[in-house]
Amino acid sequence: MLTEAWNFPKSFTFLLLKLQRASAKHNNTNLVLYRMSHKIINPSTSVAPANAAGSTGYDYTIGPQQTLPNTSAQSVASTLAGTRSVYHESLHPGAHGSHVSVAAYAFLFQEMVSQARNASKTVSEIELRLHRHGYHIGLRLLELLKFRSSVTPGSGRSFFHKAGGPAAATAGDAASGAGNASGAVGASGASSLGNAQDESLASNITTMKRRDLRLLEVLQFVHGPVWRYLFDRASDDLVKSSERENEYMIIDNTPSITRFISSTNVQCDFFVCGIIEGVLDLASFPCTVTAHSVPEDKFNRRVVFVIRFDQEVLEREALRF
Amino acid sequence: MPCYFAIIGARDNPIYEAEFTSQQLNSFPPELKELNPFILHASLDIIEDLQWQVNPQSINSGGGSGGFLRSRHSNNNGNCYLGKIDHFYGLAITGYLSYGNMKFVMIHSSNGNGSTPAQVEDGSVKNFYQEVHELFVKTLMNPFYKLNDPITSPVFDSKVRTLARRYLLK
Amino acid sequence: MAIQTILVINKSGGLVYQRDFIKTGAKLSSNEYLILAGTLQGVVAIASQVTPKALQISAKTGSKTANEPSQLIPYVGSLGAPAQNLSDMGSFMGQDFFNESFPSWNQSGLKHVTTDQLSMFLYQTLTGLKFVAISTQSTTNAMAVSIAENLLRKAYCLYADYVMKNPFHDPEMPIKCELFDTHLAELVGQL
Repeated sequence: MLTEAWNFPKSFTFLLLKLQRASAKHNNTNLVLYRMSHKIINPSTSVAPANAAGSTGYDYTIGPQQTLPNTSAQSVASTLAGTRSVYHESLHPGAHGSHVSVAAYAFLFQEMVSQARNASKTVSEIELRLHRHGYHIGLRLLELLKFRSSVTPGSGRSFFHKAGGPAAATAGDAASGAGNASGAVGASGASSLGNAQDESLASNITTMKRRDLRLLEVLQFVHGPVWRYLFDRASDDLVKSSERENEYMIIDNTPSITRFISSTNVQCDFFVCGIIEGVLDLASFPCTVTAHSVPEDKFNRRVVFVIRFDQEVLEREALRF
Repeated sequence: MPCYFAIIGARDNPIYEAEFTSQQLNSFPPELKELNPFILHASLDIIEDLQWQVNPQSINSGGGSGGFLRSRHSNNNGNCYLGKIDHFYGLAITGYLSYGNMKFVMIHSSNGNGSTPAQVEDGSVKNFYQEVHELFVKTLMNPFYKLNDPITSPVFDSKVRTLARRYLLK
Repeated sequence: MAIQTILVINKSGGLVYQRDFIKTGAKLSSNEYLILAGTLQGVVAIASQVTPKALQISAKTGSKTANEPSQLIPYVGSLGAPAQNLSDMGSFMGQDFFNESFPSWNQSGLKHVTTDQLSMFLYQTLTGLKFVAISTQSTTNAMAVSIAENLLRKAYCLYADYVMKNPFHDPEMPIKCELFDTHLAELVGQL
């Protein structure tokens, strides 16, 4: 069986390619290279830890060994009793309150800008730092917002009943409402772990939202849902540049986050640029985003976000669609 | 049936992997165990191709046995769950893409001794992927987690195993 | 009542903001404004010493038991509220910045100075910041005092938004914020 596997040419050539690509970029967490690299990443398996005790490195008679403690849910729950990890929080939009005070946000942003200002020497460095802050938010927003929008509205209602005593019962109701018995078993199991917020939204999802494949789809996503999540309204306009093929513009007449900042030579909207770039980058539409202040008669703080996609995006677009 | 599951990051680096077995069912033979990562990685190119197909699940479904034996259930138009994307000596490989193009891949082995090809139950596998996707989004909500880093949380691990028991090991 | 000048004096008596709203008429030089600010600070300090202890204590206990109407400054109309663009109220929601009576934070008792030519109104904040409005009319009317108090409190609201939330402003330093300028001019203009 082993030799047969190695005679399989397709997988082998693929593998070599993969090895080269992976090792060039990210050496230390590469599982395929465990014989070659120094850091060993072993998979988490069901082999009892006792079997593997005392041996370090790879043992072909045992196979890959686990790195994560293969503990049952009960024991993890007991060791972590009282602590709440991020996995116990609900992703439901109502779970953490949907609105943030403008003042609180403005003070936080103010502190971010001053921190960036103290740490940098030039104006472009400040903007770069703000951009970087936003980028990591963008990465997370793409996954979070898309996932949330897959949940059919009205489900996850047990969240709103969690203050009541029979939390387990409502969690079970929600799961069985989705029409599968195994979900109900799971939900009651989860609530026995301690809290009703444990309920998963995924069991209520029948169809996941589609991934955005076309350029316009993903731009619409930024223009609509992302803007609504961040600023409570869609952006004012989404325009394609007439001069350059790869250039698109998102226009905000009244940018919310910089509303208290008197115009200086530092463009604080680069924070939003970072968010946009993070979303587009993770969706595999690499681009660079810049912000330009373009006042118009009625809106003197109007900002235009210029999105320049890399050439490969346009090539792929032309090739695929 | 035993399964081998991995999440592959954007740079083709594994960020989480797990083997799901249970006492009463056969586990992977020890000499095959070490091949799992290789088999799984070999299917990544197929995923990268399917990533940009408009209807990844319906491709080749009408074409009979030619090409890869993909599942024919394309009753929805979601394009996260890719269905069965590859097979390898009786092992079936299914794939799933998150919105950030994280690749969720799993090898399904047959119940028996490898003589019968593994069957994939699309419905429950899809549910499993969706639940893991939710856990992954929750991982991202952790401000100390950097994208494409390995996931080392024991809570994540135990939750994924609970899901596997519920959806896969039946 | 026309507002001639609005001043902001920080807690150590330095003039951090000065703006004239009437272009004509006698003007003080910037140095004279600095002296005025310093003098006012001194006078306020003296006034707080002069105020009888009994009054101070009764003011304190009065504010603790609260709700005594005489201690509260009444809210005056929708004074200077932006008429057309209701959306741009900074971080404040609703029609106006506030719409209920508020207690005075004035510790010293010096609220206004009246001369034949002009009157001067003082609004103190809990942090020691002082807003001063100089009006071209001489008035001792209690109504005028409470209008001025309302106006300056709104100026304080603008200060909270457009000065304190501006990352390019250093606390206790002169205020150079374009948005504060424009909004304050709007507020005074709508009086």
